[in-house]
Amino acid sequence: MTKKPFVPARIAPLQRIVAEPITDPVELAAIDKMRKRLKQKQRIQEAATSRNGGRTNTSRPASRKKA
Amino acid sequence: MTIIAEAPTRQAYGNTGMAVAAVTPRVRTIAICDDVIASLTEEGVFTLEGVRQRQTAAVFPWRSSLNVFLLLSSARKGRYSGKILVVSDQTDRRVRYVKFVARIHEDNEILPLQVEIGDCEFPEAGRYDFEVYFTGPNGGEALKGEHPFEVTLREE
Repeated sequence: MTKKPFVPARIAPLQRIVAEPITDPVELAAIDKMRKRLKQKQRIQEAATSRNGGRTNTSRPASRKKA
Repeated sequence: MTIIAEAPTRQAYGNTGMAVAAVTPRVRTIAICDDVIASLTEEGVFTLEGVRQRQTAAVFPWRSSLNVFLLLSSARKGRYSGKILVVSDQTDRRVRYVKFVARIHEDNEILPLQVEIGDCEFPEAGRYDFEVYFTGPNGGEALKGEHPFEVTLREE
């Protein structure tokens, strides 16, 4: 087996940012809607995972599939 | 000094043909702290001051000015729009929503970022979540990291 060459990653200098508060009611509402949608998706995924005994892959192994 | 590293959450949403999570920076580290000081003698070395997992309040609502230290990595250089949302875990009520732009100058770069999120007003004791999102080129957004934070009332 060949050894993977080590290439050190470039680490940028520290960036300091003053974040801009989001105050626009339209933008705030869009973010809230987006978060709600994401949480719903998360719940569906978690329910599917628990139904599947903790496995995220829902397909059966090839050996167990019906012919 | 303690740095809390969390595995990135790879959930994307929005009307996308390509997964937003795959084309936005990866959040390697999230730390809520008072200040970040870069070493004068060594590149890529930082001192995080007052790294906190919780805050003790004397009264409610409690105001606190916080910094978020992020360590980002990206396979592609570019400007990435991000958001940090602070929300109550119990009520889902928003405490602070802010936006910022991260500039990654080279492909496969690691970017240390100090984001001043300003005054957060915590309405009550409880658990709060700091959520980090990035926007993809097509406008879809992805939740790239989360960090829990507790606010407790000081006991007399």
